[in-house]
Amino acid sequence: MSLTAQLDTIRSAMPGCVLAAYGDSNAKLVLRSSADRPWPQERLDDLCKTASRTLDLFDRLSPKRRQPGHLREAVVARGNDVRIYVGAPAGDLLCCVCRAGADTQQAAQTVRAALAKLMGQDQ
Amino acid sequence: MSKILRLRITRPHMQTSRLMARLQAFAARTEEKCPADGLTAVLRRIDTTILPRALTITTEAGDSLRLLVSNRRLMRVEHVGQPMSVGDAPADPGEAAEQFAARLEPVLRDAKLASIGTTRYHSDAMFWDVGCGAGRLASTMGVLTQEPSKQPANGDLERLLSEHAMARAEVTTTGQVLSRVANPEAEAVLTDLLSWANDQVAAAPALAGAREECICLPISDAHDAVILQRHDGYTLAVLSTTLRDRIIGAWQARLPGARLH
Repeated sequence: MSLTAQLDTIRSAMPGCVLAAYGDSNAKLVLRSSADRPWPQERLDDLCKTASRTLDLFDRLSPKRRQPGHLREAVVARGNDVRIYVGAPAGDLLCCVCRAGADTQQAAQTVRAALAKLMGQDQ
Repeated sequence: MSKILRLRITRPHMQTSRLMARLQAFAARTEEKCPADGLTAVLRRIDTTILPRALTITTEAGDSLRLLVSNRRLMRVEHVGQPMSVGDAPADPGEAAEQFAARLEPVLRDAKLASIGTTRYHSDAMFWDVGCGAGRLASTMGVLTQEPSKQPANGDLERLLSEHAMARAEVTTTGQVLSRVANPEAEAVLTDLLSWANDQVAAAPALAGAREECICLPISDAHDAVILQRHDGYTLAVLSTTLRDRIIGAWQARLPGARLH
């Protein structure tokens, strides 16, 4: 299954998810995305930069969880959406943007599982 | 109290491009969503414009304002046809918001119909300006942020924090710690959160608290470090992960009715 198709699957598995994006937190670029409407690339890259910065904060607050293979995670709510960022130590990053009211624990679990699967395919 | 200002999207006067067409299409969709509140549409435009753009708002009476926007910040407001005063560059986002609101309000107060056009714009001088975000401008103009119905939601958030937080601190955008309470097991995390807040203030004092966000970071299987970032400061807390969605819900409920993405 292509990466884009996997992102489509992730989005359809999460109620209210309007965007699923795969990026590289080192390069701070979104490489593939699936969305209910087009997102300009600069907004996607801005999303990736914000995710990367937020996950750096996760590292700062959770040094004990920064173990090999452990995924970094953050949930950020804004006015009308909730963003779930999950990052792998190597820099792989999944960002999902959901409408307000999302079950963030369930959503984060879905994103974690999806990223773990993507990483497994990489290896 | 929100102001009513109907907007008509006009074609850009020059430099039409695919990107511009996308921006126009996006703006048109935005208008469809909130056709009755043009000011909200302007604020939303500010909050979604990353590359330097000049938004020209023209009222039916013929008044014309040019808003220079870049990186989701309003950098300048010019009354077209009137000379800009020299030496009045705002020192911080609060001062910028007050200055911009003072220029916008007289023109938009009684306007019932206006058009808005977008053109590319670039000026090195803009990068030296502090500017302000759409949220702060809305607050300063007294629109969208004074909904009495939202007050109980603030109460919900406060109640959740006061009853359930294992640790909590209030910090201003200048780095002043207004209050700090922590259980021994959450003390270290709160110290790290305070250190982070201080770094934000030190790195970019003018931007501290610029964007309203609720950041939840799972520091263990059972607990989140929570940062509630407001225009006027930060609430830092440690809470059970099971409360995350309630905190987010209460946080979002207290925000203005018109969401500024």
